[in-house]
Amino acid sequence: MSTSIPLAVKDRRLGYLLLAPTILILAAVVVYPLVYSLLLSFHNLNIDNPARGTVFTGLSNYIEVFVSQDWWQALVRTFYFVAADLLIGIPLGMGIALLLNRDLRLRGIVFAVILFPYVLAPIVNSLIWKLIYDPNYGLLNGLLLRFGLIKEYIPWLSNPTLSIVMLIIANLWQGTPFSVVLFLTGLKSIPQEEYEAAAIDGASRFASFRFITFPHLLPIVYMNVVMKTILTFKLFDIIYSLTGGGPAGSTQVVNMLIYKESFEYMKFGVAAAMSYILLILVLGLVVVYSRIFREET
Amino acid sequence: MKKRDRLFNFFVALLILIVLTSILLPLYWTLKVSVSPEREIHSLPMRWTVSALYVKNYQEIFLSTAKAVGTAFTFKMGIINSLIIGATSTILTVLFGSLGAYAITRLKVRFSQLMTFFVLLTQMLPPVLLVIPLYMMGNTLGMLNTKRLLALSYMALNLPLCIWILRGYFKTLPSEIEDSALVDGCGRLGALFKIVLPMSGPALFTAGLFVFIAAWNEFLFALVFTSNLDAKTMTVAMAEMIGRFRTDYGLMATSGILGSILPLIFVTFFQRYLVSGITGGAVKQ
Repeated sequence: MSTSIPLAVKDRRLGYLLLAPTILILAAVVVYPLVYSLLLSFHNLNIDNPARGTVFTGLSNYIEVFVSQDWWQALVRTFYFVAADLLIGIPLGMGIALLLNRDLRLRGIVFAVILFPYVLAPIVNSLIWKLIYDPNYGLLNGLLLRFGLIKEYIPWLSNPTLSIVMLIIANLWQGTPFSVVLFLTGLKSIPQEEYEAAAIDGASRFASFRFITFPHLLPIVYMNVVMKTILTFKLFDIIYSLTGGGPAGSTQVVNMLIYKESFEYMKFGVAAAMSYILLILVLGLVVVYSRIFREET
Repeated sequence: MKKRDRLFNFFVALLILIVLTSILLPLYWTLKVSVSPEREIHSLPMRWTVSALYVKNYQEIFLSTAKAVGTAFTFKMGIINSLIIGATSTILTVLFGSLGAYAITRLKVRFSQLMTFFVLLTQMLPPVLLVIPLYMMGNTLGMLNTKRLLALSYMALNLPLCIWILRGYFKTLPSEIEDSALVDGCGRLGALFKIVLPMSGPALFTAGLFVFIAAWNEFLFALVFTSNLDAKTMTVAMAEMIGRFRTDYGLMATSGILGSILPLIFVTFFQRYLVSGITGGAVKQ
């Protein structure tokens, strides 16, 4: 009888060894900070008053968040961005995918161009729109004036009502290609026979969209809704670099508020509480979506 | 009927043209500003073209030296730092990711479900949640303003997705070839490096592309962790330019173009891999 270790056990040991770097890195950079943040959210570091040191303050950070007007306003503004992504970005992405879902000349180049905004850094996206929205030398004012649509230059980003709309447009420009790719993949997986059968029955273009294409795309719509919500709740870069949350706080989304709370006001405990509330909110939304989706299908 | 079809095709072509224009026009404008002399940037009414190609902004960035630390030099160092951080995190993530994915698919490690959880977690987490404690850790360990901290962060954020992509690919490889290699006395590690990895080129490349683009484009961690030229990245240097009260538009546009070249090359030539990564990564949800 062999006394050596069975192969399966040996394999498993090697397996954990191979996973060790991943486990260590995730433990240090994801798990530990998550725990640290959770603890932080129940403490006050008293950075402004070091003599008092770190004090356990129970739920007071969370209470401070819930009574903070800034928090609720930032949350509502974040929802504007999410709503625009879901109600404009997803239908737009589906529309563009439907346009492209045919034998195109130069297909490779067209698809690459569609993906351009997706691969650019959000900071580059900011830079591009800064050049477009600039009140004096920007492309937008230049174009509108040339076509006689405005008489004088509009300061797009320094007007509190306009600035959020302008940021939403910039965000849609960058975010929509992702939806297009998802929808195109969905469209490719629809069996062609269904269209052929519909054509024999004399179905119109609209009817075959309504009864074949759309039902097949529903899971993709759901996937889009989930991913877009998650992504838009992370929105930070373009806000920070284009308006810094202004003018007059009109574009301050939650991530911008959390950033300021921590790195400008040094209220790390409150900021940690805010980030946890944000995480729970996103998780909650995803659960709600999956319930709705399951009932629909 | 035929006439109606032609009309329909015409409208489709028109709409596609509108979509392409709305994507390309902002990029063209940035490129145009980057090669315009200052008086043409500021000329009224706006001009569509440049009178002559003006490359002074590009020269200013490429030829800038440490002797005069200005916006141009900061950006140049940012590009260099971003390249180093991006390359390091890409190579290490793909290496550790391959080891991890192999362990999960072939070595019966009970980590598969936990890994799925980590994929979801790292995708869903608002990054601000990690940035605050990591900043404090970095401060305690004296790791702020180092490329290491950023590379390590990007590895952690991308490892789960990388393992996910590779695991999906490894599963499609027939295990018979590996088994015969094992019988021939080639150990598990030999099988991984001599058989599995050489067969996984496309998946390794896809994973690598994603990690590199994510690291190259990342902003929040870089903003919080770096404050000097030792580790300041391309995106942070660019944001400083955008945020200036008196912005040099020519130089700013040039930095935008320089920061976009790599991602645009990737998407033009390796579009297939990116799309498979997006959809492969999306299916997990």
